[in-house]
Amino acid sequence: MIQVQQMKFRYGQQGFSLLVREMEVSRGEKLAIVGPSGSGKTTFLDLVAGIQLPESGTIRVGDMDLSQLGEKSRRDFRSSKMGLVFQEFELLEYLSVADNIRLPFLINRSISRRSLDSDTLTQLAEQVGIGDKLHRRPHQLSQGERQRVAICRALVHQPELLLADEPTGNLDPANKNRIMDLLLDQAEKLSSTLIVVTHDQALLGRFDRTIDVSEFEV
Amino acid sequence: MDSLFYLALRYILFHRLKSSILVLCVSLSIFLPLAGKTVLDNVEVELRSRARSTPYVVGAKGSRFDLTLHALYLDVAPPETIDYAVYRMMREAKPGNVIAIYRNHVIQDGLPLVGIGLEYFEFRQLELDSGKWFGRIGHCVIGSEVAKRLQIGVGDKVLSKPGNDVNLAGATPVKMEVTGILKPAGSSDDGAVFTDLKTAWVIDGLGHGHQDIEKEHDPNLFLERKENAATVNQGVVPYIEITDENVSTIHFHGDTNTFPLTAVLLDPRDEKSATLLKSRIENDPASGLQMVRPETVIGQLLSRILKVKTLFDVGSVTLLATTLLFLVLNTVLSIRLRKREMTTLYKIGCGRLAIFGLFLSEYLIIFLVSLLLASAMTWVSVDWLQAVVLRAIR
Repeated sequence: MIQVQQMKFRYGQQGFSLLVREMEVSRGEKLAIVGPSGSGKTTFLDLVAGIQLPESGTIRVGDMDLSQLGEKSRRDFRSSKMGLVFQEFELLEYLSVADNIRLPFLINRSISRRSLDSDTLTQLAEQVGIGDKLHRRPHQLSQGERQRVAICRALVHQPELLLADEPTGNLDPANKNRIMDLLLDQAEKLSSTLIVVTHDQALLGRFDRTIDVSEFEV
Repeated sequence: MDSLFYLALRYILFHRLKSSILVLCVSLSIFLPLAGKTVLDNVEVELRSRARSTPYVVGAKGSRFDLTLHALYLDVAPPETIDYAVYRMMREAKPGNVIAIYRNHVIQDGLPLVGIGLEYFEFRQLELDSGKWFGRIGHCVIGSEVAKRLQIGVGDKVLSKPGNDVNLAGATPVKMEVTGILKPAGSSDDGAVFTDLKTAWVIDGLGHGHQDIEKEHDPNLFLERKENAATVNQGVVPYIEITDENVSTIHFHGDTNTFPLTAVLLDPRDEKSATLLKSRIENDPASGLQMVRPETVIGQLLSRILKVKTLFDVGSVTLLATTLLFLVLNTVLSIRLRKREMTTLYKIGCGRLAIFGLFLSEYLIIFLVSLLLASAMTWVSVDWLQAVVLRAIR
């Protein structure tokens, strides 16, 4: 699913740099990315998502070489093939839960042509336990519920690759486990590849593999 | 684009206070120049059209603006009076259609009471909506606005106010019968009460009738009795009502040539007749008269107003510029505050152009709502503002 070769990334001329000589992630694999703060975990995730471009080397996702695609193609590819979950949830306060979930369909033409019927949306929301909160605003939800909405938003277009940046970083221990269960279950159901950046050592056992970013050359 | 509009609308509705303030600011900065321009344009059209329909006005020497506005808009305070002899002189000269106006009294609510000849209605192309034209002293015809405002109709009575603009003590009020109501004309005629010149002179005390007060009143109110006359307290006759029975007793004392008029309108047969009359009037300084062409006078008046309009335009441009700066400031602050939102949108697949489109849609909605609000405010207030401006000009 993902192949990285001789990928070099650098912030500015003198800034932080990251070199990944070779790395591969299989389709449907559940991968955890760990490493100390500032080691480049989020940067690596951004590179895989095509949000950042490497200075040299290649990143292939499926049959696409992201480093060869233009900004628009990468964006379209990202919005159609990938789902992103953020540590701070990043929900839009002015939209209802339902609108937040369908947001990818509202903002990108490449997937808005695919229809999203309300039954699918409701079904998905019910699966993650927020079926009765579709008309609420994010500020009316608990932290755990907000992250569930964010996960729904990442899953709504049935992505092949699910990228989560510290999805449990702002949650209490009970919610951490529930959210991680949810992510793993949903990725399993969709046969999606899951890459999760986490600090939480207790969660690592639930992944197929763990990569420590500090092993990359920095 | 539909989705962006939807998102923009949700944002605006969620931030109601901020959006309302923006809408209010933009609306006001649209409303003021829009309403200002509409009102001034309407006022100009109204003044010019009324002026064009009144070729010449003859009146007492003094302010040409006061005389013209009085003759065009009957609710304007009267200038110095001229003698009825002027009207006779003009008619004898036969320069065209000559119409006497004597507007020196009001009825309740300050509505103007105008003494005129019936030819005035033909000249102004005024038609009756109901009733008939006045046929004798003590009758009157009222404008549509008067009927509406006072809730009166044909057969009802209106009472002239005691006193007049130049003599507060005045004479005894006259109670007049409404014989007709005019169709709305969209001019100041709608707000006037028309009667014949003689009735107006009766109100001035220049003419009167005789009543048999012995039959009708308390003898205690008699101040003095003589063989064939009696002097009574004013409480006996609070007003004069001219009826079919007593109209024959109405008579005037003095020379009618000296009776007052406030203006004479002239619709000349041709320009030559008007020029001849004008030179006759202006070559006789002792006449104390002036003959003005309303179109010219109103043109001069409007050129003065246009100078004020320039100041108003400067004010409007300043307001627009201030609003624009406010919008720029709001946008800059908004971009800072919503940086995370924009980053998230970008990360999950929204292009930079679409993010710009989202902001643009928000401002477009704000602008459209503001435009609607400003148009509604203009529509609602333009008549009132126009009336205020016209009153101020008069």
